[in-house]
Amino acid sequence: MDSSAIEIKNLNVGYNTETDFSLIIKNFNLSIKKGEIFGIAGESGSGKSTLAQAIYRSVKYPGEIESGEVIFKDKDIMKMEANDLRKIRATLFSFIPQAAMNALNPVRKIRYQFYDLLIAHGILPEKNNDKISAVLKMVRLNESVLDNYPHELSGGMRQRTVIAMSILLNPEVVILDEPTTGLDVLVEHEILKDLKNIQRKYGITMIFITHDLAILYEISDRIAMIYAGEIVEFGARDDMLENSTHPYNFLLLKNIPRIGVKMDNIIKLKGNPSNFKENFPGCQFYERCPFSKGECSEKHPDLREYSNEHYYRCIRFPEWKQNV
Amino acid sequence: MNELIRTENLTKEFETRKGFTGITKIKALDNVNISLYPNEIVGIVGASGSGKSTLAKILVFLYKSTSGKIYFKDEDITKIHGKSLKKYRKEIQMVFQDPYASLDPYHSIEWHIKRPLLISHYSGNIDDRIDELMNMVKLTPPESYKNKFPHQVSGGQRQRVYIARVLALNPQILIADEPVSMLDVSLRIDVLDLLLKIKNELGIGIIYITHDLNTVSMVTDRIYVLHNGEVVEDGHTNTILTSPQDGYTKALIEAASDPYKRI
Amino acid sequence: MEEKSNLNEKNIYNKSTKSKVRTSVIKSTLGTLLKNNKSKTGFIMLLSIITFSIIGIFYSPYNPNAYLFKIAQPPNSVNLLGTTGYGQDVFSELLRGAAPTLMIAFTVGLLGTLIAVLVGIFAGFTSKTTNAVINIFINIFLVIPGVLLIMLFGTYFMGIRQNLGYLPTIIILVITGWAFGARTFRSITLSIVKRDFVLSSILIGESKISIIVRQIMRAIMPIIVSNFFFTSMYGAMGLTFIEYLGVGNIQQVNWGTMLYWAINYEAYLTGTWWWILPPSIMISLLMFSLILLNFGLDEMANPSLRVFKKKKRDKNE
Repeated sequence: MDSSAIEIKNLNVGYNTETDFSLIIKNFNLSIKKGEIFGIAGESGSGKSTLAQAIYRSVKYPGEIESGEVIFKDKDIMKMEANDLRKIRATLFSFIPQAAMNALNPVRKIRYQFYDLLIAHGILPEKNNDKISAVLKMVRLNESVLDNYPHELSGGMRQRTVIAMSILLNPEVVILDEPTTGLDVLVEHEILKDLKNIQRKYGITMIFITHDLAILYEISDRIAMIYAGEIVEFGARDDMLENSTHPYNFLLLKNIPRIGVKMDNIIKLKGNPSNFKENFPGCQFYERCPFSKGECSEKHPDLREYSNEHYYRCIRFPEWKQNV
Repeated sequence: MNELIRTENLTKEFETRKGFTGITKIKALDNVNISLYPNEIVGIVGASGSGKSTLAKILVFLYKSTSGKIYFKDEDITKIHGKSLKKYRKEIQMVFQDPYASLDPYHSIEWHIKRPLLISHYSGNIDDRIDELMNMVKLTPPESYKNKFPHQVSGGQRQRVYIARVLALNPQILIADEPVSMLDVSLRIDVLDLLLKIKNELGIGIIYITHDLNTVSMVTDRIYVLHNGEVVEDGHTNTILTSPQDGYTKALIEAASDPYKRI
Repeated sequence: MEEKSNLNEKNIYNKSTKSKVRTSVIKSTLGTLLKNNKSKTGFIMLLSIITFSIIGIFYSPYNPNAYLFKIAQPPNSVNLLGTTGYGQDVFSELLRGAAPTLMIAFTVGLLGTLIAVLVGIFAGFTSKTTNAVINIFINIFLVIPGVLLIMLFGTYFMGIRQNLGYLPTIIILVITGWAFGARTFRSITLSIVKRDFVLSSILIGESKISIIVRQIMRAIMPIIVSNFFFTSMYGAMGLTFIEYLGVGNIQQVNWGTMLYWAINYEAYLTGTWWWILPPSIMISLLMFSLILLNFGLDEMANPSLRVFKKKKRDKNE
């Protein structure tokens, strides 16, 4: 599989609680192609942030990766030595966690935070000032931000700084967890456009994780929808948009507030996104699904192929489409 | 019909100190004139820094305006304080952006709805009224929610609890400051629907503050577009969204997210 | 009629569930406190020390004030912990001296915390100017060295009367011990007042008192309790300090005066370790139990400090 940048095989991630170990990501399989923007959508509690951390092997206690492989460049990240892992992080593979813009060191000028990153990878910072100005240009920041402290910058500028840092060492894969959440619509729109430009220009593989379905559909090439730690539908963006095969994707798309949509035309989605039952034998979406039947609560659906690289996890498809 | 609330050249300046002597003044609101009628939802739209949250806080008297006047039912209330302020506050309530922060984590859901009833000396049966309010915001059946604590329910349900809390005071005006921006996609429509229901069934006037034109288009009758503290455009929602005049409004419409668009 | 009885039933139902909820809150707090190994150890230690002190109120083998024995005897079958340089039974002194020591520690803890809570919350919830004035006041008490105040007040009280019992000691310790807590409560209140749920209560029309009692105090309860333990520690330590300096009433029997007399006799030079060690160890144990309780509270208030044992999932499920 030369075309895949990252391959996730049978990944199981969970959390230790007072009484037991509860699984968040269950038997997760996914292959991400080189040079694409892969979108991962999920509501709160679906496990999307845990997934992002697991791919980067940065799950912190009480979270724990139980089993599985993440193949990157023919090597399993889960089995790498700590030192090898450190070497590929940020250079070949970088991760922007949620709210990273608030995690910049508050007492250090931006310039030195860039230098720290270079020094950590054994690169002399003084000779790489050109490189720093180049990445700043990519995210459309003025070089003067280098002499500012983080608190002197706006949220959008800090987020741009974080993005610039993540691409400083020419990584092949970048994982972005909620990169625009908390930003203003106008700033969000600009940053998304810049991200897309950078991605197209340098052929970076981007894994874009968010709960905001609208922007995910705007930017991604392929999309995986997760619910309760499992992929429920996954395929090319256009297929997902035009031919939803899973009721969850279909209903969420209908529920996105949009200019020009009237409230009366909406099929509402009932229930709570994070209300999962552990060890439920059937489909986790059963209770919220308006198209569900008795059989849905008994048998756990498998991932089936609908058409070329478009998968779904629903035993009622295509019948449910007739009930819309 | 007369306006519920109207502002006249409302201006707010913030002072920031620089060094020991320098004081810089920042205009957060610049001669803002807005009005709200009963039984309508008015949107205040603007990006961060446009002054929309400052406006909300002035209307509920958490901030004092620098100049300009506020009229409540044609009565000048700009300078009220003490008892009349308390009376006015009952009429105008605010729904906060973050339902995770606006409910006290140490108190039950029932407590949150009961307190305003006790404070306003509700004359009828308080338990019945709590049930009625909880049914109105679709927290049904009420018994299964009453003894729960905020962390035991979802974001959407918290926002409903909060709305029930403010409705307990029978306000005439509701200010909703980004009430759905922290919620999951599948829960947003429900809360927006609830706002429409409140407007239609109780005749409450709602000021809906947001940066998100998508949700505004679905619930509001009129909008004001705020930019750097100034109203740059106002009028009927559909008219503005279909033929925006101001460049800023156009930028906001272009930036509004839409799954069917492509970046 | 039927409707009314139904309504009553409903009310009764509501009330009973409410009281259930309340007792369960207390139970679960105590439960978490006891589930935690550190606070459990601290709790058991403190309970043992308290039991020890209660026994001491009613019983001691000999009169701790009477000079009944040979001086400076090492531990033996008659005098479990030996005798002092003046011929008193050390164990009897230790037993009798426990209750006053604990009483002073906890009274100082209680009063000091009470003042700290009142001043701190009031400062955090009032106008900017009042806040600034109170802050200066708190800071003054913080920067004046406690020793100086203890000496000053101590000699003053010694000068006026002899028969006030432990009152002067308690007053001195409360005066020197409240400011730190007040500062903590002030800054916490300042941050809580800005939160949305307090703003919401202001808008709803809650009075300030109601917000303070119902919401702020509730939110900072773990910190209040923790402050109580800390101030109690200060009380126990301060007592020994005051007695050591000799500005307290040295006729009374407590662990502080025991040390005072031991040191006065230069017990550390004469090798009468059985005189110095018992009160020192008891004071240390008391402090240690309070610190352990505090650790437990920290973990209760901040769940991210908790560590669970790894449980393996049954894979065949």
